[in-house]
Amino acid sequence: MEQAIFKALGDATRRHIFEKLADGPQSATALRDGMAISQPAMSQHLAVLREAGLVQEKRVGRFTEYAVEPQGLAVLGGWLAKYRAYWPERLAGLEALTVEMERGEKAR
Amino acid sequence: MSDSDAASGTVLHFEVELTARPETVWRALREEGYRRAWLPDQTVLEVLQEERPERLSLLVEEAEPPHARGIVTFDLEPGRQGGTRLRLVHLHRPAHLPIPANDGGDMVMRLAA
Repeated sequence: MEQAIFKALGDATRRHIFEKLADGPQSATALRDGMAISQPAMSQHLAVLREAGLVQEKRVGRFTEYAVEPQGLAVLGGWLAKYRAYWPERLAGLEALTVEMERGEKAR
Repeated sequence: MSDSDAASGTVLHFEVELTARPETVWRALREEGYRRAWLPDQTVLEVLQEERPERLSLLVEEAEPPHARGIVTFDLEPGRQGGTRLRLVHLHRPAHLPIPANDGGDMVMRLAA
């Protein structure tokens, strides 16, 4: 599931669509507003996002609305949470190591 | 040290001031013996870009499951008081996607909380 998510978001247009949906549910027509993209292309991108579990489709009367899938967001959040904590720790290790390297040079 | 991780989505940014000179930091990033000491849990699969001592871009894979792949790019410049200003960009990258020549900048994604 995680791989499918990052594959789906590997495309700039789909990232843009996903970002728009993060602001709130919208129809495919509203999503195309301001984007140079055909209706079939939009449908295809939405299908990829839906298959990746990032977007859900809802029938509202005669219309179909698209919204961000909370579980998809959670997977993204897991990666972020991990590496947000990870890098400051590793970079602190890098700081300690490089200080040590220069100390060693001076000693020689 | 300070860090900023303002971006959210599939890319993370950090910026730190290191005490050591860029040339020393470069060696700690580039030479495997040193790199293993501070970054033991990422396997470097490929060096994607190398401009000593300013930019190093690595294709990495987590040593532990789920073995997620990513592109980690380090930008170094002389910092205050002879140290190094280090910027790190970590881009999550699925295994089966081609390696972008120059991606990263547009991967920043804003998500509603």
